Amino acid sequence: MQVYVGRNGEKFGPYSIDQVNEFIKQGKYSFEDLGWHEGMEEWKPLRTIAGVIDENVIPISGSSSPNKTSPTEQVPSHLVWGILATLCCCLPLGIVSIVHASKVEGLLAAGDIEKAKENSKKAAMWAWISFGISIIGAIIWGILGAFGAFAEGFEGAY
Amino acid sequence: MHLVHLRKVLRALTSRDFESLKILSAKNKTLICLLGPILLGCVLLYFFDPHANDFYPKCTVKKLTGLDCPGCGSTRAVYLFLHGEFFEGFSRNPLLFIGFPVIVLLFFRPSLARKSWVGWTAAIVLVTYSVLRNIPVEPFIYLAP
Repeated sequence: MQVYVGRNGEKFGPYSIDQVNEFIKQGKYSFEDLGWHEGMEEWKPLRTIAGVIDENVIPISGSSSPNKTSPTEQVPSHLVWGILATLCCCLPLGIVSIVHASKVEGLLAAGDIEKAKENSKKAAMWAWISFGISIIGAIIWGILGAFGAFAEGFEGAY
Repeated sequence: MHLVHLRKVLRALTSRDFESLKILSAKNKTLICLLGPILLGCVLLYFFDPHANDFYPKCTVKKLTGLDCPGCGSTRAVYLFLHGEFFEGFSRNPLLFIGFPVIVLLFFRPSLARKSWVGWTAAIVLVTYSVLRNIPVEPFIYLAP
């Protein structure tokens, strides 16, 4: 689609949508500059033209979404859970969770949304496994303790 | 969290109207689920000394290997803290008291929690702390309970 950009009464282009996006990223044009392509009744701001992306959205697909929350908001790193898991029980599994959580940001910045989500899920998973193990462990010790298995006492384990 | 937001949350909780509970964001629900056990833990620890009572959960790692995991000593630490012995409480698990505000901060600032260096620092600190506090030599023994 050939898009013309209008600015201060002057007409520039035509450009492809990709070129327009590139120019906007570079700062040459802004979303408020007017654009027009074949089929439009009148000049409208570039941001309303289909295919012109919101700069906050990492371009995984070409279309702009009406809801402007960026994907980075939607991929949580679960770091807090990883830290809590490491503290309250399994050090090794908790560290695994934290490592996965640390990778999320880098992957998002590189545009690899899929991998980022994968690491995010793994971070959460290992954290939950850690919590699960600690709860099961506590229950087992509790049961064994109730049967007098630890007659000599629990010194130092809390 | 703004005060306005807090009022909304409180009103939703006390209204006994399950519909209004839906306005609680996922984060607020998580917060409430966490605060419950934490408050319960604090109340229990205020009244019941871990040395004298058995019902507190015990550390699996410690029982199996004898090593101190990074959380070891927290129960005693909180107990002492609640009874005014701040220095003694701190010495049972120093990382707990330093790390607690950090964890709270990260919980309310997920954009900060997402940064790679934060995660890696946390991992390194936790591993280093675990290793150091198990070394039975002069400066490091202060890290152990």
